[in-house]
Amino acid sequence: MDCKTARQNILMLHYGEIDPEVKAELERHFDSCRQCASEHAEERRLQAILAQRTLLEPTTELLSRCRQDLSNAIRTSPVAASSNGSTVLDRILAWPHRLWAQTRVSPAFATALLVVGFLAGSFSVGRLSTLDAGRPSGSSGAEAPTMTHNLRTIQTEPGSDIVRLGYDTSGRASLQGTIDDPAIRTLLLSTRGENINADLRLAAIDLLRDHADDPKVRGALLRAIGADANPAARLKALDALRDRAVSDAHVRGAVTRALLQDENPGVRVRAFDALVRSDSPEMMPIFERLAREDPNEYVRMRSAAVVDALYRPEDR
Amino acid sequence: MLQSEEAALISEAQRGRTEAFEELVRRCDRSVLRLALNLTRSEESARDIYQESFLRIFRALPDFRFECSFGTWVHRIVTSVCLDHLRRSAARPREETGNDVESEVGALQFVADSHPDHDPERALARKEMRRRIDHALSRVADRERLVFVLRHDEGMRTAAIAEVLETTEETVRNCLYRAHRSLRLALGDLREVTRARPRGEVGPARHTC
Repeated sequence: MDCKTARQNILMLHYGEIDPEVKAELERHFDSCRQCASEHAEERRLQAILAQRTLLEPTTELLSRCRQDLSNAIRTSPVAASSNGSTVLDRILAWPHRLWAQTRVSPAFATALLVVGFLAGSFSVGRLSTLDAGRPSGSSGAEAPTMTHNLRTIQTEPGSDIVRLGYDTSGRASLQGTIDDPAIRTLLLSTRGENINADLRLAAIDLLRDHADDPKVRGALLRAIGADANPAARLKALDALRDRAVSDAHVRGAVTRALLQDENPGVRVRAFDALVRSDSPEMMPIFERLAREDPNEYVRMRSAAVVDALYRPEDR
Repeated sequence: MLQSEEAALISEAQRGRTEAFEELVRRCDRSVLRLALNLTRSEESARDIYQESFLRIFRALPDFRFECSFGTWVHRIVTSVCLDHLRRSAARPREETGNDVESEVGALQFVADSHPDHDPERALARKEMRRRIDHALSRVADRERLVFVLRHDEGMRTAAIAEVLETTEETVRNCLYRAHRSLRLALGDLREVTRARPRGEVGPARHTC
């Protein structure tokens, strides 16, 4: 170890955030480098001084006072006054307001919204026809909304394969049918946009998960794995495709990217579980790397076990 | 707390139930107040930070999307409020900040110095050392001081601090390094008065080298 690396590690050594191997190497370095050993002693001395610092703990009285002040402030806050009596409908009606506010503060978001709107409009023309608001509908495969990015509610009935979707045109409309109806499926696929709330995206993935043979559904699920902002949605999409990770190279690629790049540990662990059954040779270097370097202990240990299981027969 | 229980409370609070929000507050507010107290060494400032943080959290809660843990999200807002507060305090004359914790918080806020062979001279030296440490820390740049308090006092790991401050672990380590360097310069002439520590285990006693 050189002096520069040693100096970089001394502080973390004092905070116990250093690997045992690096720690042993650092201590060997101190034996041979007087300057770094002195730096280490200085840091130890500072830590001893800092240990004299009084750490303050809030008293029960102070905490109670803060809670009381906060409670008073919240109950007189205009936000609380408006949200306390609000219904789900109120919040949905308030949504365009919030969306508008977002577009005002974020030109990038406004541009994205225009693009989504344009694409959604182009996509729906020729495929979907207008459905009158409130029209009772039975099998409605040919009837669907002109705009596909404004799904509002999804209802399913236990023991039935009927799905009821609420969506907005100029007003609210609804569409009823089975998941096999192209219009139902198209509207559900439109929920992948960021402007649709996460609960709807999750419900849509739940409905679509058994229809991944449809290339559009499979594509939407792949996109959700890689791009949905909500980790729960990424998890659900991953679960929906996990059985295909062994046989389908595209799915394997998306799941591998999730394993290597997703910021959510839960998604990464689930991606690992999906891939671990794959004996594809391209996966082995990845497992070897994960066994060595992955920050997640579970992934590291399981990867080591996979690598170990592969090499064990040859070792014996 | 079970994550599902927390998620249910968050959802209820997002629907406007203030009781659910208050329950969420009660589960994390002690650590928020402790952070504010140790960062500012002032009860009044800590109360301001507490109030402003939770009001911001209350207003922003409808937009919380479960993209990170609730704790991390709360800490992001709290640390942002702390930094704002430190910046505002720095812009005000020192008298207005009332940053002297001994006069403001009072002796009862300290962990009791209950050593049986307590002698006045030693106690005075220790009090002087604490004053010097607090003064030295108050001179450390705001962001570096925040990182120091999160790591040294709150015991958060650098990875967690990086997540809260939405930066890299390397940046956090650099901030921590700069804070330590400032403290070493400011406290270079101090000798260790006693090996007893008031609270916490940070330091060489825990990480023997």
